[in-house]
This record gives sequence, C-alpha cells and structure tokens, in this order.
Amino acid sequence: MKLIPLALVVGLAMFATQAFAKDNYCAECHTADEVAAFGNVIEWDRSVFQVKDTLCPGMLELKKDAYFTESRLANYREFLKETEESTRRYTVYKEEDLDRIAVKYADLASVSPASIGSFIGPNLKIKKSVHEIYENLNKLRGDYRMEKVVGFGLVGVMLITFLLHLGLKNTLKE
Amino acid sequence: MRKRLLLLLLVLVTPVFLVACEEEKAATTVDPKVLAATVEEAMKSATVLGKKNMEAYGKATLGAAMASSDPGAAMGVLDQAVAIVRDTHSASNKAMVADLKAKTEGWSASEKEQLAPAIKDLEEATTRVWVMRAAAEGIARMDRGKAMGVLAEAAAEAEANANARYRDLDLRSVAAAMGGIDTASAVAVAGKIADARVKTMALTSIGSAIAGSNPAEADRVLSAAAEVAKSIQRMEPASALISDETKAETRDKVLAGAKSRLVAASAEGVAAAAKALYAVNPGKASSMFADAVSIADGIEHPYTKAYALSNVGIDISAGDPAGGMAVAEKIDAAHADAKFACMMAAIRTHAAKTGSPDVTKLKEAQHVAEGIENPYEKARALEMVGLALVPASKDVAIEVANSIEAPELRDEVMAAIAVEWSKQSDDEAKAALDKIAEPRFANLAVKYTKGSALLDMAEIKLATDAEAAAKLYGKAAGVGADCKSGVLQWKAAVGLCKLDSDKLFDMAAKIEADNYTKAMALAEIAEDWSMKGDFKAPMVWDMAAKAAAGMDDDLAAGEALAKIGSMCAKHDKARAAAIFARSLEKMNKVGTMPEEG
Repeated sequence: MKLIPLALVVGLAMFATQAFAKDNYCAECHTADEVAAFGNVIEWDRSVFQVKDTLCPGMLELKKDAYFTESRLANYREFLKETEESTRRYTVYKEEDLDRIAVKYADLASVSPASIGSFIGPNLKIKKSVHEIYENLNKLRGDYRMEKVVGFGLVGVMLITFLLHLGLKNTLKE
Repeated sequence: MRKRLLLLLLVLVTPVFLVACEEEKAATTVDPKVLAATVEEAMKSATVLGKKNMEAYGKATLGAAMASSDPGAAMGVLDQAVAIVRDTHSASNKAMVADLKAKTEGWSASEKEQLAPAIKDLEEATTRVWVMRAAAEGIARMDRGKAMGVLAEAAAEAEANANARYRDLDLRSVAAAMGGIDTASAVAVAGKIADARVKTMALTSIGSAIAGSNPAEADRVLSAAAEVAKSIQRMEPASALISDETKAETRDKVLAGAKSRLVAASAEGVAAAAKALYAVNPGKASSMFADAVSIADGIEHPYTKAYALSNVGIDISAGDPAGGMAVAEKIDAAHADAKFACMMAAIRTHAAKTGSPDVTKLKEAQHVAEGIENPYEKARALEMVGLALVPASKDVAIEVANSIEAPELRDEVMAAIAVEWSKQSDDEAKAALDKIAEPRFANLAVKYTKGSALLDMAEIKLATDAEAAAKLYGKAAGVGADCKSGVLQWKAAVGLCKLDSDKLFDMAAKIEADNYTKAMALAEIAEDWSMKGDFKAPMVWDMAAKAAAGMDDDLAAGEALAKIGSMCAKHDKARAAAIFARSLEKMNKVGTMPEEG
C-alpha cells in the first residue's frame, strides 16, 4: 500500500478547503489513470503534519480522518489502563468496547475507499463510538474524584465531631 | 433655550433612527413565504441537477468498464453520459441560475446567505466539466478522435467558468486526460490555466503520460513544468485569515507564512517534474532536483522548510536513494518526523533496488524515529522501521518491536516476523505467533492481527503445500468468526475456495458482512473458478451480482456491478452483459428523485 505520487497532487494543497469535492469523488479532480496510481491513501507513511500542506483536499481529508481514529484507538487504550490503575475501577467492559471498535476500523481500513464519503461516513460512526468511551471514562474519573472528596470530607467531619465531643466532655467535667 | 435644545437634539437623532429603520427595512425586503419558497425551489433544482450529474458519472464509469468487452454498447452508455452533462449544462439551466441570481440581487445579506448553498450547487452542476471529462476517458478507449472532440468541448466550457478555482482544476484534469492522446492540444489547454501551482501539475501529468512513448517531447514538457513551478515563488501571498480589520503586525506574519508555503509549493513542483523526468533524462532531472533542494533550503519558516525538504527528498529517493539520503541529512534534527520520512523513502527504494534492506541505515532511522515528539507518530515510525527490518534481521526487528509503546503496532511487527518465519519453518512461525500475548479480556484486536498473519502465511504456502495452506485458511476463518470480522472471514473463504470449491457453500451462509465485501469476495472466487473451468463458476458470478445489487446506494451498487461485469467479461461475455445491464438499471435510478410521500 503506497501513498499517492506527489507529482499528481502538488499544487492542489492551496485549494484544500474550498475546492473540496462536493460528492467526494477523486474523479472530480483526477483522471482514472491518476486515481489508479494512488494506492491505499490511508496508510501512514509520514507525519500527518507533513501531509497537511502537500496533498490534495480529498487525500488530506482521508489521511486526517484515519490518523484521528487510529491515534485515538491507541491513546484511549493507554488511558483505560491509567484509569484502572489510578481509580482502581474495573474498566474491562470499556476495553472490550474499544476492542470491538478497533476490529470494525480494521475491516474498514482494509478496503481501499471507493470515494472519500465511503470511508468518512462509516468512520464517523466509529469516531462517535470512541468518543462515547472517552466521555464515560471522564465521567468515571470525575465520579472517583467526587467520591474521594466526599470520603475525606466525611472523615474530617467525624474527626471534628469527635474533638468537639472530647472538648465538651472535658469542659463539663471541670 | 430649552425648546431650541430639544429641537437640536431631534435634528441630530432623526438620521440615526432613519438609518436604523432603513437597515431594518433592508433585512425584511422579502416576504418570508416567498423567501422560503425560493430557497426550497432552488434546493430542489440543485438536487435534481446534482443527481443527473451523478447519473452521468455512473454511466461514464460503467461505459469505461464495458469498453473492452462490448465496445458498441459501451459507446452507447458513454454517449448517454455526455448527453446528460450537456443537458444539465444547457442554456436554459444556466439562464435559470442567472435569473435566480438576478431576482435575488436586491435581497439582504442574511436572505442571500440562506440561498447561497443552493446557488453554489446549481453553479457547480451547470458549469463543472469533470463528468464530461470522465466520459471522454472511457470514449478514448475506443475512439480517440471522438474523445478529443468531447475533451475540447469540456475545455472550452471549463475556460468560460467564472469560478477561477474550478476553471483551473477542470482545465488541469482535461489537459491530463488529453495528455496521452494529443500532446500539443493538452499543452495548449494547460497553457490556459491561470494558477501556476495548478499549471505545473497539469504539465507534469502530460509529461508523465508521454514519457514512455515520446521521451524528447516529455523532456520538453517536464522542463516547462519545472519552469512554471519556479514561477510559483513570484505569486502574491494571500490568506483567508486576514481582512481589512487585521492588525498590520498579524497581517505581516500571516502573509510571511503564506509566502513560505508558496516557496515550498514551488520546490515540490520542481521536484515532481524532475521525478517524472528521471527515467527519461536522469542528468537533467538531477539538476532540477538540485534546484528544488536549493529553493526549499531558502524557506524562512523552519517547519515549512523541513517538510518541503523532506517532500523533495522523497521525490529524489524514487530514482536516487543516495540523493534522497543526502537531503535527509540536511534536515534539522529538531524536525525528526520530516527527517525520518525522507530517510525511510530512501531506504525503501534502496531495498527495492538491491533486494535487501540496509540494516545499518534502518538503525539510523530508528534513532531518528525515537526523537519524534508525538508519541503516536513515534510508534508508527518505529513500526515502519520494524517491518522494514523483518526480511533482513528478525532479531533486530524484535528489538525494535519491543521499543514500540503502542501494543497493536508492536503486534503488527511481531506478526510480520511470524509470517517471515513461515517461509523457513512452520514451528518457528507458530512459536513467533504465540509470542504475541493475548490479553484475557479485550483480545479481539490481537486475534485480528494474528488472523491476518495466518492469511499471509496461507498465501505463501498456497503454491507449495495446499494442505498446509487450507489448514491456515481454516484457522484464519475461525479467528475471523471470533472477531466478527466479515473482511477476514471472506478473505479466508476466497483462499479456501481456491483449494476446495465445496467449501464456499458451507461458509457463505455463515459469514455476516456488508454486501460490497461479499460481492467482491464472490467475484474473486468466481474468477478463480472460471479460470479453472469449474462448472459452478456462473452460479458464483450470479451470487456476486446479487450481493452487489443489494447495496443500499444505487451509484455504489452500479459501480460494484460494473467492476464485477468487467471481471466476468474476460470469461463469460453473455453473463457479463447481463451484469452490465443490471448496473445500467442502477445508474438510471441514480438520476431520479424519490417519489414524494
């Protein structure tokens, strides 16, 4: 799987936002021979930051979208582990959800996209599912923080009550 | 005195109220019902014309697919495509858009804003010529003269487009399509492109198309492309980020950034032309590459400079890996990602040329990759090094794999090592695959990686040991079922059916996958069986066509059917004709509006 020959796309970069193909077909800007030479455009072969100024709008969109999903799948897995360690909460169900999403994405990425929309559409659903996991994790961390605050607060109140009780008892004795 | 003051105040305040009332009046020039009806009507027209254009595009794709097996019918379908485009671009449709614009000229900005998307779509549908160009590409497979006529018509229409961007982009693709047919006309069309960035790309496409058949002309065209690319530096920088209200200091900074990007585009344009020229005239191409490096080296902004040098180096590496490596060395170590991409391009080309990767250079690349700041991109870069090392040194590849922090990328390298082992020893391959740890829970992604490796191993065994290959395909299918991966299961089914045709009917019913995956897998099986003369092949072609026809989107279904038809045409022209007819049915539906209610 190779990235497109830059020879065919250099120059389109400046048109990136406004010339973006409405119906998302590479054929809107490229001939059939050019499209056939593209190969698999979503494969990583250089930094996404290096791609941002050099590829055609469609390719840029696909590269960015693939990078977004792949990097989040990897980062959230780490995030799940950290959450489990730091909060001692059971995150295995979330890990399994993320795992299923990873398989769905692997299936999607294994087929060369027929159009930009044919990748971005299903990938949007995947991104939404990944984001839901992220939101749940944040909620989990938030809940843990709240429980900690309430716990410490309760201990503090009990300590103060105990000391008050002790003080009152000694005062009344006198 | 008091009365006078009040009078003066009244005189001063009245114009303010009058202006405010005028603005209020301007915001409500149109009856809301008229506004809503006009917007709805315009959107409906835009949808109808857009659908017609997509129908034409679908027919252009179908015609091209049919060209080799049934030129007569193909020409008929392509003529339909051209006729639809001519119809959408008709004078009456253009007049309708012009009327709409004239009618709404006096509307306020907020009212116009509501209509703007529909007008944009209408203008695109009635002026852009890419569908006509796509149809001409299909026609060119049968009648180059006729195709040139259609392309000339497209070029004339594109030239008249008032939208400068679409004008240049459409002229570029028309020039590229003409490139392999009539170089002089193609260069003439490219000459009409106003934007130097697009013009250099058009000339590079034309030069690339004729490099094999007419090297001298290719040399001339590609040299012209490089000259046009150099002229990009003289373009005035512009940015959508600045307006009249932007502070002078901010404006200068933004424009300086845009200027650097223009210089980068210039360097990359020269390098792209040189890359195409390398096969024809390596000496001249090397000199052009040197120019490109020199231009990139002069970029003021460090990030733009590093990425431009890297992109130029990657182009150089395609023909001259040592030259590419020299450019990589010029890139500042602070931009490890840019340096790494350039190095890897050079290393990969060197490996492809010599047949073995350079382990020392790969270790250098590993060192550079470790300096990449973004943790995910660092892991990706290390994965790339690990995969490249596998054929040369499995031990070093394992070392690199162990340094990757993202487990799924580490597993990819370990799986590649197992596949490499399978060429020498089944036991070692199994042991290597077993080294990939499967977590107790959430282990589907790991299984998927192993399943893919099993498929690769089976492909390797297919030529020498059918029994072992069948076993591996079976295992991969099982893993695919565990993961609920339709793609993995169908890939395994395709492999198994190449060895045992009875397997298909056992497996097909059990696999849950989308219709496109299913259709393409069945077409691959049908093609294999047709080549072997298996009597069941026609049935499998029909199954593939049925799956493709079941896709929700008519255009996607039509395209899949066209693809299956062109595969089938090599073995069974009558059946292919039937599949093409189903594709045409789908394409006809693309241009129709759904019935209301």
